[in-house]
Amino acid sequence: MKILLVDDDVELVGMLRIYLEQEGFEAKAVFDGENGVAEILSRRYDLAVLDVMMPGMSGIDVLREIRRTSQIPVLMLTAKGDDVDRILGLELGADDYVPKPCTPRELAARIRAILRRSLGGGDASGPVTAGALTLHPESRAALWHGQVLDLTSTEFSLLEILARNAGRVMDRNELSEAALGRPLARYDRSIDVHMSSLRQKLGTYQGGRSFIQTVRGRGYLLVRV
Amino acid sequence: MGRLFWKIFLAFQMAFLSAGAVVGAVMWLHHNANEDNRERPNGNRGPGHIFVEAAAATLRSGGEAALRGLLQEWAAAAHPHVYAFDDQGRELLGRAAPPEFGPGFEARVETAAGRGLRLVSVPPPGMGPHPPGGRPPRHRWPPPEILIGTGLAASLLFSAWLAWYLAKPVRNLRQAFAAVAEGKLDTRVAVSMGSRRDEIADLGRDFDHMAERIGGLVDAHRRLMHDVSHELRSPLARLQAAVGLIRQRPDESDRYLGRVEKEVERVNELVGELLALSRLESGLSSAAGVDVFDLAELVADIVEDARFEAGGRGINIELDAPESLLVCGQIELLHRAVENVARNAVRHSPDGGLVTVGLWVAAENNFWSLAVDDAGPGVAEAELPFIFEPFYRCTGGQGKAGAGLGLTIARLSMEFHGGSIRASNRERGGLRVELAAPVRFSPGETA
Repeated sequence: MKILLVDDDVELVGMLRIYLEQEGFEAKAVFDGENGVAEILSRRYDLAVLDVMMPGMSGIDVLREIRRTSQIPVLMLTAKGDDVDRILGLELGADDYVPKPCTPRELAARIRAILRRSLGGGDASGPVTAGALTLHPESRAALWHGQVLDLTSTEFSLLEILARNAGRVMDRNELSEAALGRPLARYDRSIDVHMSSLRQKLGTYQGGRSFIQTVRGRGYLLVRV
Repeated sequence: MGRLFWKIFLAFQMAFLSAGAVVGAVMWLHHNANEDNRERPNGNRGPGHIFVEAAAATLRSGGEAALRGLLQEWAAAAHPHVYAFDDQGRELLGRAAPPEFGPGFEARVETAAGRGLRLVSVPPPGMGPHPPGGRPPRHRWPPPEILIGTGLAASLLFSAWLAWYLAKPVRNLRQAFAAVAEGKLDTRVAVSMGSRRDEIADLGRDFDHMAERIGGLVDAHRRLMHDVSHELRSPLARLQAAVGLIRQRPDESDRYLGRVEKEVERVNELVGELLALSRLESGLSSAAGVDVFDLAELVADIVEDARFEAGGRGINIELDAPESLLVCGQIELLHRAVENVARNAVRHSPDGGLVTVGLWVAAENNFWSLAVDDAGPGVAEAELPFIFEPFYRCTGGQGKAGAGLGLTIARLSMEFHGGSIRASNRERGGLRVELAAPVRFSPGETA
């Protein structure tokens, strides 16, 4: 499993690379945004770890650039408490974030959680259908009215959970555990941001209602159509 | 409506009312004096009086019939007419009362039959407002209640407008102050002042200026806080990574413990620079510790220290300075300024490079100058003005930066000494940082 680390802190990335390699990943590091974009778009990596705060091209810029063409899983390193960057990153299609400074163990765990999902995890169950939606977990392809949906790995996982439980309200914490592989932190809006992008991608049915509905205080449900 | 409004309003209302009362009293006295004058016998009473008396004499001598005849005769005449009313208000000739009695005269006479008659003289129609020899007729004033009422209403309106005109901007200012006190530093009042041009408008402009200045300072501090937390986080992230590696491979712990020490030292250095910065900022106005000392000696010391550090990387430092140069200033601050610039030059020089330090006095303005040239990559022209800002990172020089406050401290220190610091790219490559300040610095001259 090949990981790309993009961070301007050469020494930090050096140590993280050693740590991740010890954990069984194959890791490479680049130290600025431009090289990051070029490496990611070479499609040799299974996941990219992006630092938000970089001089010149920031992590957010890199994400915006690569999401035009690539749905590679992206884990962002954001400064703790910098909610604006975090939300912006998730909106632009990052799969999850890790607050910096973090322990390398936590970083490795997050990387594993995302990779487990995006690489399919050997779940050989057949396609899931809910109304006009068909999901193929083994190829992680989503069809909506026969059209291919361009989803990030996390978005696919969330949609898959909702589709398997169509018509049932899914708790936000359940969704986080299943799709992000971690319990939801307090005041964590990650799930809501992902849901909001999913909604945009699915569009609305007659009456302008969304297929994914928010049940206040409880969670989300996919409408059976 | 606040208290100020009511105070101004009431003050003006009082002024109006008392002015009205005084004018009223004067008018009344004047009027009474006129009335007295008019009623005085043999005064200038005009022809009406003669006709009334003639009519009265006729009545006394000839009775009502004679009077009726006389009045009939007079009715067509061009002199003042006389009307005779009995107690029931009936006119002797059955004429309607003229619309206005005007400046006529009245007399009451008893007929032989004991009936009372009121004789009133009236200027004949068409004779014009000025009966010959008589006083000009009084203007047709509306009744006094309406006059007083109108005056009162006008004064009320005017007082209210004036009070509002003065009190409103003050209220706006007060709201603006309250908003700033709540932290809304983008509050401005100039718009609400409109096209007003007076002291209150000036006050508003001063307020805006103040709010802008405070806003700028708060922004700068907020940015600094943000940068500081980021800068503290970087060594902490490296610390955590190093600790993670030590846990992962305890056999190599020695190597990573060195890393831990290094990062701890970095955090310590950053905290030290932060303290220096805060001391500089808070103490900029104080002149404590200004001494006369030998700057050439101080520079030589710093160069010696820097040579020791740079020696490991084969960097050579050349010093070109006078034997001795006495200047006035704060030793601690100037030491930090020179040291930070020198260390910066060494840090950005390639291994085996050359750093030159020059110190001289410009004769024309008696400023000392210190130039530090390095052989590093230089700084993009567009970025030159920013390198003295806290934590500014040039796009080229990754990983080589110190704590990020050194040049900022140098700049503040030079500004304290009434001097300046600037950076330029050398023609032959590398960066030149030049410090300059007056030799005879006295704290009062700090700009």
